Amino acid sequence: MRRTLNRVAGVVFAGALITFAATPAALAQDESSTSPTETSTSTSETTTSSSPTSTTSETTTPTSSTAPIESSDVKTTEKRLAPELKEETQAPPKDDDYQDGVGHGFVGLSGEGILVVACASGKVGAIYTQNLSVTAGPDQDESDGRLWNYTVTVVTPPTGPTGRFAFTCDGVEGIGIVDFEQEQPPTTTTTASSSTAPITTASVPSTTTTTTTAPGNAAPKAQVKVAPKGGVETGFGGMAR
Amino acid sequence: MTLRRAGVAFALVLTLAGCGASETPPAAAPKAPAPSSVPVSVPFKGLRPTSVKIPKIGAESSLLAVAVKTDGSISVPSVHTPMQAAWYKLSPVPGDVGPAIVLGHVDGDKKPGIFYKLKDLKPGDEVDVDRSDGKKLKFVVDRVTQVPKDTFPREAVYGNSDKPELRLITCGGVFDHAEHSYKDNIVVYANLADT
Repeated sequence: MRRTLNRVAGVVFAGALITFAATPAALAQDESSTSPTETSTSTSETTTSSSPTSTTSETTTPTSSTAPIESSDVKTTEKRLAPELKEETQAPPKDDDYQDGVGHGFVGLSGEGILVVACASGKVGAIYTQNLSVTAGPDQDESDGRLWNYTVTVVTPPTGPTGRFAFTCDGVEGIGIVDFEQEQPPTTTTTASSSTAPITTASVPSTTTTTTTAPGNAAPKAQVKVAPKGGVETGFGGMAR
Repeated sequence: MTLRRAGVAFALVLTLAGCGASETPPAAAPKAPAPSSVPVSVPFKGLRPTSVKIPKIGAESSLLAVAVKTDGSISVPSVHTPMQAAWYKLSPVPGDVGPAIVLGHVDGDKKPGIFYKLKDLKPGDEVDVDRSDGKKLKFVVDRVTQVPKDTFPREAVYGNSDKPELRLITCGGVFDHAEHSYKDNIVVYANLADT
């Protein structure tokens, strides 16, 4: 029995070490994942201009005396660089802050929620959760097929505001945080003690407002299972007024 | 016993992996950069709205089923397809009790979006929604609001209601060129019409 447990612990520890070893590499990958879009544009610039000196000065001022470039070369680069520079000044919309191989969960007050796994390969594997049961999924977010969704419900109340889940993407293990929405502290509790204050909302007994609910499990059913964070980013062009 | 062992193992892995931080720890090994878009081959399978039509402003679109991104913000259609609207699948299906959330771009790719004229709607205007079960629903605009994104009225928009309602959301207000984002959201509240 003890030998078996030791064996299990050994396997687990080895797995954890692998996870540790993968983490720095994953961080490096995340950084490089954003750069390809930048490098792809910059390579076209360097190949056309052949000199790394400021491309903007080439387009605006023809007197780039420092670089020994023939005037004929400058003309050709002007033609090809003009539209690219225009694109850059438009400041690309900040809609793609995508990171592959990460996951995050969100559970509302009613105990229903969603796990989101960013896995562009589509090879999402088993999900392991601490307090949750997967009730549906995976299916893709139809606006971004790289995001995979699992619908979940709370089976055991979490002990804190966050939990964890494990997943695999393309055969690589990952661990995601689950945020359990917390009940906002009731603001009307003070009205119960201040009985002398002329408050007209006395028709509801004050005891009903003081019910404290366990995070993510005992609240009345929320029709919107998870309220998204922040506003809605549905405009990038600056055309509307 | 075996399940308990698996649970202990899972807990140990989580602990040993150093997951105490509140941020999502990246876990992928080095590999090729992820593509910027992937075709959807496994769509949402449940009951859903399939299209939205707003005759007053000439808006008509099919509806994607979207959820949230890994940062918890709502997932929106690509800026390159600004005429595409979406239904937030963690909200009720339109016609069911509660606030069904439908969103669309005001603009994108330097073109007007599906909800470019959403702010022009007035109480009494009609919004038509079709569902995957064949139901054709008519909603009537109750009010149109413009709210700062910084103080987005979550309870008013996402809170429970006692009847079938619709929320149409897009961007509006002043455009912040530095942030490349509008300061406000336009939110249209509509109720299911009596049949």
